[in-house]
Amino acid sequence: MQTLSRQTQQDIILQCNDVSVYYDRQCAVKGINLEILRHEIVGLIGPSGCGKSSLLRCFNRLNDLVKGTKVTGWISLNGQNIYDPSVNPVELRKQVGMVFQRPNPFPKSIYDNIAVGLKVNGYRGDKDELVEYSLRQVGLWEEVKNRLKKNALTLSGGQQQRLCIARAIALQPDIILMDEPCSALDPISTARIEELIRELQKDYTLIVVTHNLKQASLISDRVAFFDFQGEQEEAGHLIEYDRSEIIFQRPSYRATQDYVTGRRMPLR
Amino acid sequence: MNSKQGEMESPVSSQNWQRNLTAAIAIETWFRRGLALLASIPILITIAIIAIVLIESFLFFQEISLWQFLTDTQWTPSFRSNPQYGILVLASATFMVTAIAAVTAVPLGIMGAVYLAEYATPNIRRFLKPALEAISGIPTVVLGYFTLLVFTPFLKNIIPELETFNALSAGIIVGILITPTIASLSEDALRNVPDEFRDGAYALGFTKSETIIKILIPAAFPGIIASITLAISQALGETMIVAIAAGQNPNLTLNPLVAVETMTTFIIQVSLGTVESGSLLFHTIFTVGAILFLITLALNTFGNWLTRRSEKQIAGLLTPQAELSQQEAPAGTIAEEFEYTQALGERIKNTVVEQERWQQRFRFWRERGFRLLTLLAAFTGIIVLLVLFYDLAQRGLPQLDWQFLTSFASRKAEQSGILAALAGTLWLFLLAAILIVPVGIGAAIYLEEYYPDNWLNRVIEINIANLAAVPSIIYGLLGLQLFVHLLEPITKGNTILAAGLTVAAIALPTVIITSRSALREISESIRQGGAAVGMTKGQMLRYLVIPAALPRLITGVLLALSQAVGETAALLAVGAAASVRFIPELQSKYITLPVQIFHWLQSPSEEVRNNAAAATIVLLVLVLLLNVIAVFLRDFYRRLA
Repeated sequence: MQTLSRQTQQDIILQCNDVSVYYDRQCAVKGINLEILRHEIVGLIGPSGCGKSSLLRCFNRLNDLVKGTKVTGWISLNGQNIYDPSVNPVELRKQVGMVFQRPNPFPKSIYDNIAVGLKVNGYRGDKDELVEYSLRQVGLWEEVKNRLKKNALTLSGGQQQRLCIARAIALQPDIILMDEPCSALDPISTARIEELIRELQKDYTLIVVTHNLKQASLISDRVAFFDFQGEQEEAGHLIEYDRSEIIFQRPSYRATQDYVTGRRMPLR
Repeated sequence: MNSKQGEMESPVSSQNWQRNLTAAIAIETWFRRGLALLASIPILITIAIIAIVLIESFLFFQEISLWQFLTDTQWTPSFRSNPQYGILVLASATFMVTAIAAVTAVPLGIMGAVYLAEYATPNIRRFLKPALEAISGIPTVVLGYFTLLVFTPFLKNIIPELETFNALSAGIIVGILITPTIASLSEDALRNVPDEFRDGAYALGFTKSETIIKILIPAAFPGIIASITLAISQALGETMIVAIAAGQNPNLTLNPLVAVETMTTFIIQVSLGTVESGSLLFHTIFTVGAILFLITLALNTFGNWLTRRSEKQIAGLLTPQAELSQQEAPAGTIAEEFEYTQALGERIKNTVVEQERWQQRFRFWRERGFRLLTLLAAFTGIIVLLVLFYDLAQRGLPQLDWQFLTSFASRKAEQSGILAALAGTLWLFLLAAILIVPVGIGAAIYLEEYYPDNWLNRVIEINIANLAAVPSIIYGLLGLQLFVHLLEPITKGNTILAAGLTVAAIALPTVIITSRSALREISESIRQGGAAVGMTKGQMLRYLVIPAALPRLITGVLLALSQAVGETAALLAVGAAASVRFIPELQSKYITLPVQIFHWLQSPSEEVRNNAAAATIVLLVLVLLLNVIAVFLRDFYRRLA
């Protein structure tokens, strides 16, 4: 596993050091070392069950909510270990936003979907302005500005997912995590979200888990490939992490090569 | 994306975010502790019930030997000289009524379930199921009225030697009351039978009724038995129907045509007089209560266990088992085997005769007959309801006017009214609401959202399910000892406050159960979304989970309140007054609508009984209103989601 030695220290926003995740006693992902640079889009790819999502959920400590989860190693965000006892995961999640596999808007109005996050995080500025700004950033403003009080569940799936992205960026996080954000969407909505992800790169760092290799090559600056090592192994490992074009065109490992060229079935 | 949309300046600067997380967490910790306290209340209620009946029974058996209790053939505990304590007298009456109820309800319930699960079109089902549930929602004092004034006179036409108070008609109406329990749970069991079984039976040329009788009912059998068990426990604890219509005459007999006294009636009968706390008679009603409690608890535990087991069993039916044919092949050569098979085949071909024409026709008629029977069974309860409504309208509507609603009860029937009873019912409604909303929903939130999902939580869940099935008369005994006597400094004895606490205890388990399932329905993805925008657990509950679950929470509370408003037996036990001629206050004597109906029914005068009918109409309208609002809210929510 290579480190990105040519980058200077302050460019690294997130750093994993020997991170392993266990559910009860079963290991989901093992010994991950990974450095993520500010304003980059990092794609996490690999076969199902190899621990990409488990790792992603460490970055905002959402794993804490699952009983019996244990995380070893350390992860630093802007130089601070997020698993330090002094860090409250609730505060961490303002800095690290997340978008889920299925759009999960709150069963509230479109406006409240964004405003409630501002409220719990103690936003003192003009809420209306920030709601509008966030909706504009995801290109939803023109579509919903006349029905902000309508229930968010009346939106289409693609609109719901963009609302969920708006909800995340309204909190001005440093990083946005996306767990297969397009897997429940039609191709047109998917294209809009992919475009949006690239736009968001100006302001945020994005980590995107995806099973869609074309999507990964299209949006990512860097790609991390995860796989099981050996037949018996249950836990996933990080096989290779490099610039997107290197992973897809001349990877160093046979396993990566087989996976990205589709010689191995990328399950689902 | 339109590039113009991105050009707006970011309105955010870092000092705009001021979050006081420490304070929020401190508040939440206290909130959580408060909820834990609320969640301990149902457990305390369980402990209190057990402790009270155990202590009182212990005191009872200090004076009366167990041998006497079990072998005496008379029950005369209120006699001054030489009282007899033969529990057999009350037990035999209770079991006779329950047996009659079971004989009525088991065929009706199972056939009704068959109709609902296999024959009813979705439209009929949508109407029939709530109508069936409505029967179990009717205050039982109303069914007692129906038995005494409508059903018994009707039966007398058929059986002239029937007494006015008798076990038969009470038992049959108790059977009608418990039929929905059997029908509803058996329907679930039938629906759980995998469709593969139906396909298999039809593929073999079974008719629908043959499929149902030979395949589906046997497959659903454990679930059906469970439903019968739960229904029987309900029949054992039923109080008002038997107290009103079966008589109050301790009588060791198995003749269903004469008046008897059940265990529940005895408790009511004693409670109607004044019993000195600590007297032997006082110990006696608790001992009878203890026996009732133990029997119903055992039946419920068994029934719930059976339900869970049968669900698992049915789920496992379709799981293929490994083949067991790894044994040695039977001795004999292949040629022998072949020859034998050939011979067998010839024999069978010769015995198969073409079915006669009349046999086919018989099958056809049997099919129609069976279908008709299930239809009749499913609609029996509704027919009873319609007859009840018709009778109420005949007797009660003429009495019902503004003066009836705004006058106090009077000796003169034509000037009598229900003002005090209405006010008492309203009081009870408010008190119960004030108590069960925070306690019931709070306990549900704690158990569902905070308390770890471990074995103890499951034990608590089973305990609350059992509490929900404890007969209300047992809660009456709890209220009598705990709220009327022990807490007298606060409640001032048998006041509306004590009554409110008692009905709240009755309604509490239902509220907790419905609230827990309402919270459980809010999907995990919404909670994760909340966590991802930086919500604490408490904020998640406050901003997302509780608002989303609110309609179903309210529905559960309203249904429980309609149960509380119709409650009669427990109130008689905690000393509701027979007649009140003022608007009750928190610590005063009181009367409620069902209690008023009960007392008016005791009168031999036709006019007073007509007043009971009029009061029943008012009570039913109130209960119906609560149910309609509850159902409306639920549907409104479904359309929204």
